[in-house]
Amino acid sequence: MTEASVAHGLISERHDRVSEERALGFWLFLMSDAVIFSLLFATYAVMVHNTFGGPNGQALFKMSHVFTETMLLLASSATFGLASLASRLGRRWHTLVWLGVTFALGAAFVGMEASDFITMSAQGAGASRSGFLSAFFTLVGTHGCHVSGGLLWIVLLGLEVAVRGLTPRTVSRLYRLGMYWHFLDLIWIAIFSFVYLPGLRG
Amino acid sequence: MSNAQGSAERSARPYLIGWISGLALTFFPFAIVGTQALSRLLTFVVITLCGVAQIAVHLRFFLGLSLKPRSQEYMAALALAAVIVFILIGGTVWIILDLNYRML
Repeated sequence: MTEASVAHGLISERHDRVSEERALGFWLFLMSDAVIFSLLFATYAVMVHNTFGGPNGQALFKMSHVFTETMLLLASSATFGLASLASRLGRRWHTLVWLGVTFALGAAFVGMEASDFITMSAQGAGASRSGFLSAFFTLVGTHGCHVSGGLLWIVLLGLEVAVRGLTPRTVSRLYRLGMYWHFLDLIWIAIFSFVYLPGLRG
Repeated sequence: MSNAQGSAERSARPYLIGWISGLALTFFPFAIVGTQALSRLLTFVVITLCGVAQIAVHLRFFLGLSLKPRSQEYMAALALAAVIVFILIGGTVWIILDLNYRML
């Protein structure tokens, strides 16, 4: 082994370790984010019956919309997995295509949610209508903001991959973005299981 | 690149398994709520079980967590977060319902 290749080996080994440490650090951030969401869930659980004479979940939620949103986010989580797989295999264009598909699915999700929120507000069921709706908009809106942030991050990282290619640094960043994206899908499972479905069941 | 999945996963299989089981675990609770087939209590139990199962499936197949030593630190952080979440939600609901009961 030449001196240069030894040095290269050491550098890439160090890079692996650094990127592993960053992944774990990012996981700790996600867990703290989960704690924030749990407080919003707790608030919602306390406020859910305080409709102050306004509409409740059964009157407001539309099952077909919630179901479509769930399908969009689940599919986007799977396509992000395929993007991260392509990045690990060093396939730059596959990575970009799957990132594009993920972005489209995520944007459709956010668009649908935003239009639902606007419809509800127009019906007089905005965040200030009742304790229930304040808690609902805070919880679901916080998730929507996270997803929107994720979309921005996908665009930025997509550009970085397009310009710089799949360097160890971009692959490692893509891995952390993937953790973020899959985590948001986890939160959505909790939202449709504990907010929408019980509300629709009445 | 290595990660929580241990050696880098080289196939699309985990993502497809995650997606398909996710679909099944989503269809089921939606169908039960849509058809109003079960009593309220039973519906909530089924929704909760499917939700927890789906979260477990996502952790395993999308986030690549496992019971192997490689994921140990991830699992420790997850377990701590789960305890905090349980205390926060359980404690809040307990205290507020109790207060609500006493105020009436």
